[in-house]
Amino acid sequence: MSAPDSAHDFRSTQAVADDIRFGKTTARGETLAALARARSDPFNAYTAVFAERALAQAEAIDADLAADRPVGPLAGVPFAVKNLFDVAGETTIAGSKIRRDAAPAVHDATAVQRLTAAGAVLVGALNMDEFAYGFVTENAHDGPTRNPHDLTRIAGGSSGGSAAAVSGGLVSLTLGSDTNGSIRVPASLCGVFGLKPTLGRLSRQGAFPFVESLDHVGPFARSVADLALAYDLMQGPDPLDPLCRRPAEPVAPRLQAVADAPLRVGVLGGWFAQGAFPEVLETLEIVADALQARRGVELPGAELARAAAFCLTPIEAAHLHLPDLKARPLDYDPAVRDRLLAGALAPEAVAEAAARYRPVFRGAARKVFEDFDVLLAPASVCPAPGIGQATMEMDGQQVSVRKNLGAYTQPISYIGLPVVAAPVNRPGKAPIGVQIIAPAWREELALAAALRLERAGVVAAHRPPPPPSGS
Amino acid sequence: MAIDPALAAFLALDDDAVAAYADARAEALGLTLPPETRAGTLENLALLRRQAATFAANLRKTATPESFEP
Repeated sequence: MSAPDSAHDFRSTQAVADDIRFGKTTARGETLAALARARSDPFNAYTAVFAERALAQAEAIDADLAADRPVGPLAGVPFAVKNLFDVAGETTIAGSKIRRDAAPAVHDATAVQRLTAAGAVLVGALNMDEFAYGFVTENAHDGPTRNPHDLTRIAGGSSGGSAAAVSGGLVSLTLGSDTNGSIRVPASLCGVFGLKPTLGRLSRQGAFPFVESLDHVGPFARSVADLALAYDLMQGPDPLDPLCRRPAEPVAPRLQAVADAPLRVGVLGGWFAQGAFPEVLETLEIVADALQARRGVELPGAELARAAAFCLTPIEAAHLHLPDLKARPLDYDPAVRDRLLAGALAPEAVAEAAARYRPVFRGAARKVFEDFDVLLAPASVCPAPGIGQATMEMDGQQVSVRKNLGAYTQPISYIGLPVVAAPVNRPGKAPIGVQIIAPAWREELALAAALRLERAGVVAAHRPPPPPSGS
Repeated sequence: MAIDPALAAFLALDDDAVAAYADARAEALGLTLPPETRAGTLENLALLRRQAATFAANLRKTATPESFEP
C-alpha cells in the first residue's frame, strides 16, 4: 500500500484520491511520497515543506477511512501552494526577503481552508516572482524555478513553482495567483492546465495582495476534470473578500453536457497575433481547427487594455509597498523594485485613467461575446525562454522577456474574464498553451471547450523527460 | 471630461525630462532613490509614461471611475 515515490508521479488528482479511497494506497503513504519528492525537488519549485502538518492530517484521514467515517472528495491528496498564500503557523513570504521576518499567519487562506476541508493535504509552499510581480520566477532570493521540460529554461511566472510542481510530477494539484497572467503564462510554459476564474469568483482572502483590483487565485492540474473539481471546491462567497460574493455554481457535474453542446468559438486576431513566435501560431491553429473556430476575431482596444493594465499594476502595487520602498529599497529584488519605485513616482491620475478604461474595454469584450461562447488566444508569445535570458525577438525587434511574456494575458485579466490555459499536446517539444477565454462568470464554457479538446487529444499535460540523476 | 492636470503634465514630459520629474516627485513623497535604483526606475517611469499616453488619449468623455465588476 505504498504510493509511487519516484520523481515522476504523473497521476491525476482524482486518480490519487481514488487510490486512497479504494485502499490501493494510504493518505500517509501518498503524503510521505510527496514530501520525499518535495525534498529532492530538482526544479527549485518548493520553498518550504510542511511535513508535520501534512502527516498529522494524512493520518487523521486514514483513521477516518479505516472507521468508515465520511471524507472529502480530495481525501489524502497532497497539494502545494504559491508562497503568497497564508498557511497557519508559517510566515507568508510572497517571494520576498522583506517579509521573512513577518509574523506567522494565524489562519490558512480561504482557498487553502477549502481544499483542506475537502481532504487535500498541504505539503509545501512554492517559488514565485517576488510579490508576484513577474513572468519568469527567477527569484533573486530563492533562485530560479526550472522548467521540468528543459531545466535550462524558465518555468514562467509569477506562479512558476506551482506550474513546475504539477508538470514535474511533484504533486498533482497546486494553487497560484494571476494578476496579469501569472497562472496562464507558467501553465503554458510548463505544459499543464491552469484556471484563472472570473475576478471575484474565488476568495483572495489570505493571499498576499499584489494589485487588489486585478488579483485572482486559481488552480493548476494535469487534467480538465481535476481543474474543475478543485475550482468547485474553492467556490462560494467569503465575507473576508469583498469581491467574493457570488454563490457557488459547481461546474464539474455538468461539464460533460456543456462540452457536448454546440460552442461558438472565435480566434482573437489583431493584438493577440502580433509578435507571436511561429510555433505559437501553429499550435493555435491546431486548436482552432479542432473547435471549428472562426479566425481573425477583433477585440477592439486590446492593446490599450494591455497598456492600462501595465500602468495600473505598479502604481496600485506601490501603495502597499511605499513604506518598505522608503525604508529598505535594497532588500527588494531589483527587477521588482525599480518597477515599484516607478509606480510610486507616477501620478495617481495615471492609475485613475487606467481604471476608467476598464469599463470601456469590458464593453468591447461583451459585444464580441454576443457572437461567441469562447475566444482563443495564445497564452504566451513564445515557448519558455532560457533562464537568465533578458531579451527575445518579437516582430523583428529585440524586446524584454520580462515585460512581454504576458502581452496576450494582460488585456484579459484587466477585465477579469475567466480563462483556462490549456497545454497543446506536442510530446517531445517545448510546451505551448492556449487561452480559452469565456464571458464573465461563465467558467463552465472555457472548461467545456478545454474538455472537448482534451477528449480529442488536442490538449494534454504530458510527462516531461526524467530529470538527470543526482539533480 | 477634462484631462487631469497631473496626468497631462506627466504625459507631456519627454524622456529627458523624466529624471527631473522623478526627483521632484521623490522629494514630495519623502522617497530616496538609491544610486543602484536610479537608472532602472527612470527607465520604467519613462515606459509608464509612454504606455499611459496610449490609453489616456482613448478614454471616452463619459468614462468615469467605477467599482469595477467583470
